[in-house]
Amino acid sequence: MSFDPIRDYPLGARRPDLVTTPAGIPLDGVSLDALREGALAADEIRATPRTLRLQAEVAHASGRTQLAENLERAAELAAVPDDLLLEIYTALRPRRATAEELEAWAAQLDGFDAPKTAAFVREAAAAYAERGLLAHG
Amino acid sequence: MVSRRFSSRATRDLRLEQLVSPVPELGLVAANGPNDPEPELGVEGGAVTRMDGRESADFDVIDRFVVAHGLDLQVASEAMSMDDLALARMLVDVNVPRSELVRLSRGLTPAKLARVIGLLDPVELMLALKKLRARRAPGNQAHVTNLKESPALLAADAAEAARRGFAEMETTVGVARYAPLNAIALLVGSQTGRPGAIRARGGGRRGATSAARATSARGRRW
Repeated sequence: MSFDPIRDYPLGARRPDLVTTPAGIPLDGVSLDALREGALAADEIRATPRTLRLQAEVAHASGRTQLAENLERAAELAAVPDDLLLEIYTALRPRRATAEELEAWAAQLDGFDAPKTAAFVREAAAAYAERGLLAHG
Repeated sequence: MVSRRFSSRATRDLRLEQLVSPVPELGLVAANGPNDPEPELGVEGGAVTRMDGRESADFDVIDRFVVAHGLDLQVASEAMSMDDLALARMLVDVNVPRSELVRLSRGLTPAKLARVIGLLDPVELMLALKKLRARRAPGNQAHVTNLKESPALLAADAAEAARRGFAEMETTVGVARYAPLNAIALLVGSQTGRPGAIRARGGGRRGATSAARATSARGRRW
């Protein structure tokens, strides 16, 4: 059955067939019993890029543009390791990174096929440069 | 018998604080401050050149973000030319759908939005909030903190907050390394106060929020 972003929300209730863990365990396999039996690792309990893109479609369809864009970036970031994300988050705080460092992070994001987030980092770098928020390298 | 928690609360300085009257000239005012900029939006060739008294070259990072990701220039000229009072009345008119208000609001600059909101009294603001609320089932969020960073006290306060109906809780820590302990206290307390309540809302977050934010950027001009 094809996906209808208005009819099929919320996904968990209406289209559980479209929601899986990163390893492909279906939604009804995510249970306390499965956890007890060791069939479910902790890092399996997270959203996949596919689920997040479907959520973005839902947001677009109901006119929530900014939310949809957030979810599209989230879909990109689902593949980026947590410690790397935290490093980029820290680099984006005021005066933590030089223009070159921010560009290097953006290039790394490009490497993870995360063009929207990379563009976000480049946009921040340009704004920081003009507002004096870059680190002095 | 009064519990130690309540008797200790009663002696805290916070209990002795007075209500502060607005001092508009110092900026201590919710809306209609005398130093608020005049709403304006200059657009040339599809690019914003001026907003609320500022040239684009003087935009701070928040102005830039608003221009790049918040404003819808397709609606801006229509929305900015509307009368403040007309917009304020639409916010409390049950005949005006949320979708129309959302569409127009994307074309309004921050100063214009502030003007419109400034025309509403608290009851009208509540109606506007209800109209614009995106959630199907509203839930309120609370901050649960204490100066001593005592996990038992935090858990007790979190339990009380859940019991009183808060759907989501967050904490702020003074000492960063206590963050995990505070998060656990909040989780245990909130679930004790109203078991399962927090995960019941489909649109809300699942489980108690375990994030402890150290700093907040809000309100600072960069």
